[in-house]
Amino acid sequence: MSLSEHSLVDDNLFAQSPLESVALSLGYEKKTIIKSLDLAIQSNQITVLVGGNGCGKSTLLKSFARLLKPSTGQILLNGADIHSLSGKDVARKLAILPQGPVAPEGLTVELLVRQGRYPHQNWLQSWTEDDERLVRKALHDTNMTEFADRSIDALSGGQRQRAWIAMALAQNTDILLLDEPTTYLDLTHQIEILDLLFELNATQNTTILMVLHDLNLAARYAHNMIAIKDGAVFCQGAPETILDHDMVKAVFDMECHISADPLFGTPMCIPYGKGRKVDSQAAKHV
Amino acid sequence: MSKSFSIRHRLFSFSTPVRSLWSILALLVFFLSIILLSLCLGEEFIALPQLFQVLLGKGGQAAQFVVETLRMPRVLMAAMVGAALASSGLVLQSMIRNPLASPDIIGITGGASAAAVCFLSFFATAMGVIWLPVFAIAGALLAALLIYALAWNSGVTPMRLVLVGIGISSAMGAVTTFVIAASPLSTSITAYIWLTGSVYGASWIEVKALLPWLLISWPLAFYLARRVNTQELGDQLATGLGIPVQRLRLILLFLSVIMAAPAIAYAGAVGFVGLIAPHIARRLVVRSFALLLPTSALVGACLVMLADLCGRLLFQPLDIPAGVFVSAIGAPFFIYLLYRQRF
Repeated sequence: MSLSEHSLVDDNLFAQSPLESVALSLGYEKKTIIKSLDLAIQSNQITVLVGGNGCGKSTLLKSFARLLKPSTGQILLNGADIHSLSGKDVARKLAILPQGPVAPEGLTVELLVRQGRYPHQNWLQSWTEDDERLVRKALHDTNMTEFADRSIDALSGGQRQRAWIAMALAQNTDILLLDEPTTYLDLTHQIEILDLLFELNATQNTTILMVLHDLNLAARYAHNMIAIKDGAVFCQGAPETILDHDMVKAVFDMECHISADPLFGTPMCIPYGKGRKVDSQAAKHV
Repeated sequence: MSKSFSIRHRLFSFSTPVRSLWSILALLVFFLSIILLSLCLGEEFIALPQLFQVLLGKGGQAAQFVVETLRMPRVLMAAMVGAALASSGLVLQSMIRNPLASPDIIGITGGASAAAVCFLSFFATAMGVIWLPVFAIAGALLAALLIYALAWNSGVTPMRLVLVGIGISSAMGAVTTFVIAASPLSTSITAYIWLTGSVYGASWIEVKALLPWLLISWPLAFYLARRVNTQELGDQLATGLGIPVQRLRLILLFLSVIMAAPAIAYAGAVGFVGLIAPHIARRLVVRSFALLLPTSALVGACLVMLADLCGRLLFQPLDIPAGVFVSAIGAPFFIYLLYRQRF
């Protein structure tokens, strides 16, 4: 078929965006949140949405995952209108992990991760070798194998989030969307989750789109950063090319100093404001 | 990972934890022993060897009559009613993602009761009692439709559904009480016994009338099992995994009605089973709908059969409605389970 050949060529030459919005407007009831937005997510990259509270970044992420119907415009998944596809079709290509998911009481990690296989199964084929293999792999990749038989409610916050991510991995999709996957986690576990996603992108070329609140971590892990302000894209690009004093001032309405991360060289945002001032010579790290 | 029993074939594959299968098997044995016990015990005791003679059709006329005509339909009726109410409760709890749902709490039983009491007071003498189940089922369906319509706000959320259901339930309760209070005494007594729930005098006709409902609703529930598991993860995740959440919710509400309503129609408003049986089941098998369904049904069946057995035996020659003893047996057992599992 000429159509598929055409799209193959497209993929190779221009790395066509797997997920894009066209003239997208979104809103709840009468309130418009996103207005006429054109945005293309880049293939095989980690893209992070940043922006202040209520700027519309979570709403945008939900609409990319088909959880929210646009008031006008379209979301295109590999070039097709996402609302013209069946739920299962979408779920085989794109996984979404919403913010703060709650597991039913007593559900074990393994049973949760198995749910990720739902879009690949049917009534007769409810547990194939592929299902088994991918669930084991997802548990292994997230270091959750030893917790497989534990109940989700008995896990720590970091383990719990890893269990949810394992479920999304078991879905075995090319695209993974996550809404604030590190919220409520301590720093160790934040890094652990982001490392896991970084690794996933590096080894399996998974296209990752997520919302993060921590600008510094976003700058460190994202290939591409999209800053949202008042329901529109303020700027986008590699963090080192867009993250500066003026951008933070405009998007977050905050004065800051930008310096390079001493370990990674990525931009680091140090907010102005109040706080104790100490003699840096006296500090322990020197 | 826990031990699983798996079947893999080109056309058919599934996998299920072994431990849960053993629990179900044990429950099945318990279930069958209660049936045998119920057939043996009563005003006239029939020993086990004699019972087997009867089951083979060689037990003598009197024993044959007691077992085949009196006890057998009654125990089967109790089992089916318990299984149906428990399954309905499980479906509702899974749909609403809240362990405090059951057909008697969200107004399905209330709708059936109000319709049944109205029927007993206004139409029974003109139409004949044979029409009671039709009214009760219609009442339950109507209540469910009303709940769904009132909870609708560009889709229904589980919490809204429960709250509206509780409202409808108490409104139906008011109708029921009013009609009973306004009726003559004889009607009130009939209505009151119906409301408590009883399988007294159950006949093969009723057994055959109730069975088809279960034969429709049960396979449908099994068919939906994987979807139910997935929708329990929450609307967003379920949608993300490809489940049409709103459509499924409507189907599940309808399913819970066609499970509970016929049982209520033939046995009356037996309460508590729908709430408690799924909880007991969750403590016996892993949290998977396809395993919880048979487990809840067996637990519900055992509860109502035991309750009826107690009602029949403890206060002879009085025959106390099974509904009375369901709570009396179920509640302490449930509290015992909770007590044992604390840590």
